[in-house]
Amino acid sequence: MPQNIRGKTIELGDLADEERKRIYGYYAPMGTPLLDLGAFPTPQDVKVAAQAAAALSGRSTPAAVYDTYVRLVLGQAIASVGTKVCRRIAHHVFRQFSPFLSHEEFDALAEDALSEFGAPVAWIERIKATRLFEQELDGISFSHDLLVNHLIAADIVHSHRSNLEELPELLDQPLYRPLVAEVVSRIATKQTAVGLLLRYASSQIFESAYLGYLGEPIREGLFRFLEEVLQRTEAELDALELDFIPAESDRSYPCVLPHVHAKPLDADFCALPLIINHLKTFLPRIAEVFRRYGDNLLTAIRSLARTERLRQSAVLDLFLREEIVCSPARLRCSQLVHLFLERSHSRSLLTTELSALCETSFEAGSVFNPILDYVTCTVWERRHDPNVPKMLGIFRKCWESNSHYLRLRAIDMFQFSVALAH
Amino acid sequence: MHWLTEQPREIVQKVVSEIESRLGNDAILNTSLFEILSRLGELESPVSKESAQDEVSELLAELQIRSTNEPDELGTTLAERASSFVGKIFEEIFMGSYFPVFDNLCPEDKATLLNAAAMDLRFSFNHDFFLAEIVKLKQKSSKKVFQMFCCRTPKRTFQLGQEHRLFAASVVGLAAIEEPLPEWVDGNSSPCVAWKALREIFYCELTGRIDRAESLWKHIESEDPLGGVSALLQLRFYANDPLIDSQVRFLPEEAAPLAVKRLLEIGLKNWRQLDLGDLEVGVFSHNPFGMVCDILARIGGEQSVSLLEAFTRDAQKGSDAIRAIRAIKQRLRAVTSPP
Repeated sequence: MPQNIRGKTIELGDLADEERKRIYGYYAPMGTPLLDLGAFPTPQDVKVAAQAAAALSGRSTPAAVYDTYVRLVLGQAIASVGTKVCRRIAHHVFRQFSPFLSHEEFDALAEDALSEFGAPVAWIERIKATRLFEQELDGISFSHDLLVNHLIAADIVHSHRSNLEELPELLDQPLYRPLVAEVVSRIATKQTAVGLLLRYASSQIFESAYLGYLGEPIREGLFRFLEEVLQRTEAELDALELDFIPAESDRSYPCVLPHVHAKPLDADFCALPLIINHLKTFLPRIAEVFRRYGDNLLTAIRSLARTERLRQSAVLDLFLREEIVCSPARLRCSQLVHLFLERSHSRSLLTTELSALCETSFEAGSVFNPILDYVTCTVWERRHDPNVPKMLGIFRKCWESNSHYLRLRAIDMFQFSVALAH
Repeated sequence: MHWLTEQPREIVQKVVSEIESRLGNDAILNTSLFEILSRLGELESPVSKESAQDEVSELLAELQIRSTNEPDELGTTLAERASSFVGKIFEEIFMGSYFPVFDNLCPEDKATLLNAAAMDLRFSFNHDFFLAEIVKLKQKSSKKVFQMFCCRTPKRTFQLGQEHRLFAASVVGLAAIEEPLPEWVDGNSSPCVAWKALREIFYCELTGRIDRAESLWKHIESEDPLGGVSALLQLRFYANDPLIDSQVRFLPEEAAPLAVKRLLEIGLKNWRQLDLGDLEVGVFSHNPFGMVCDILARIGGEQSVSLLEAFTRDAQKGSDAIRAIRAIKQRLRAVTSPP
């Protein structure tokens, strides 16, 4: 071609997340959830993914969107077998830690799979030519790691469909751990799926489940679990007892610790951040937990102070030091307090609206409540619209409790408030 | 109406009265209460700027004639007084008087004061600051201070990594003022051998004399390879603390990729035998294995991959190892793929 009529080659850069979301939003039905659009590098890919989602009824999961996308890209004629072949190849490259295969390796793998599924070998080229793959002179690789993850997750669930109880053996391996969410979202048996969700509990996977990215049954299962965690938290408060541990040779100071009847599950501790992250939804319940925590704590303190002949403020301080001021908390309710304080400090939690809601919910009135007053100080210390009479009221209550840690917290309320103003 | 300080005067006054009424016998609570009063403009510094100025002038004059660690008739050394003076710039009640005085000192006087403060042998959380400031000032008078902190292997302290940061800052300081490293006064066993050599490698990098580094890497590999892995990871971690000097980076894998790769591969083969010092202290672990993986992801080869494969099933280290293997394979693929 003569130089002067040859067109310019323009290489488009990767789409930004916002651009992907806009394209996706244009083609996808309202509310279609999709965790990560990273697997769809070009506008055309995003459009196909969005159209795939549109073809799915109800609230689709990313897993369903990816599956539909793969089928659409492969084309109706070879979709079924093509998907199986792609899954097998995906699993192979995943295990060898590299997405790249030479043409010979790819052809051999695809040929074996096609023969096994009774399909013509000639389909290799059709599969290869789809945008699921990137071809180079010396080989071929999947166009995106996320495609590989979804294909493997589907392969794992398919190959374990009759022995799901053996899935942990696989998912316990570090290699497969990143795939837990994808695998769980594909399991049809709700009980098994939720069981695995709890076994591999993490704040991240719980958040995905909470947002419905892993499917409605799992979301329901998680909500039930959250309810159970809150129930266990309340039950723990109803049975609140304190143990006094005097100073010993290996520890130079005495302790007051809560008597833990049953150690909380790891999954319980992963659920608590989720509850705090969605504070607005759970606020009435959290306020109730904090109120009961404070009330029951005072009762337990009175009882222990009587038995051990100690001052109540000293018992309160010994308890606060171990359970609230220093980590790790032993009780779920203490962990809730910790998380609330931590998120409030980093200002990632308390918007103006939420802090106003908290202020109302945590209002302990004139009665001293060591937990509610403690967290309310934190709510006020970050507010840029202080209600000074209310702050002074809390300050006095905390001060008159004679507790060193509550006094410090009350001071912090004003100190941070003034420091932030500066 | 917004922040507390922007409230009407009578409201602020109510807070002031409440705070003042709570001053009592508890020094900790009083300090915090005074800080609030100070910020509300209700407290004069107990020391005036003039007094702070007199204090530092007297201190600087004494530093010309007396040794820093020689106690006076009250048993206090000049180093302790200097440390206490500089420490007050961080204290709410004093900072209004002490900070402007400190800040207005000429570089030579500031260095003299900080040099003395750094010589205070008592533990303090301010030593990082003293050294970082001295490094910035680049005064020849700081030579002895720098030499004091990098003449032996850093040990564990209450504040994890503090000696390591001071060690790294001192090497940076000596390079900056073009003074040589001090005589090594520590032993000749592991990991001292490695720390001594790494100190020189770091100094060579800072002064641009990288031709000497190759023989030092060989020395570490032959004489103290396990100590070398530990020292390399620790020095690399703490020397890159932006508090020391945000311009200084110690990334030896860039200047000597082969030597670092070989050393880290030796580390992988003997991982259980490594003493990773302050990098791995219970819950305060900085994940040194992850650091090795990050470095090898950039410089590792086939040999690194086969060593890392041994960790891919390990519950703690598996995900780091897999991430590094993937990155190495991807990089090797990019190098070998046809254009």
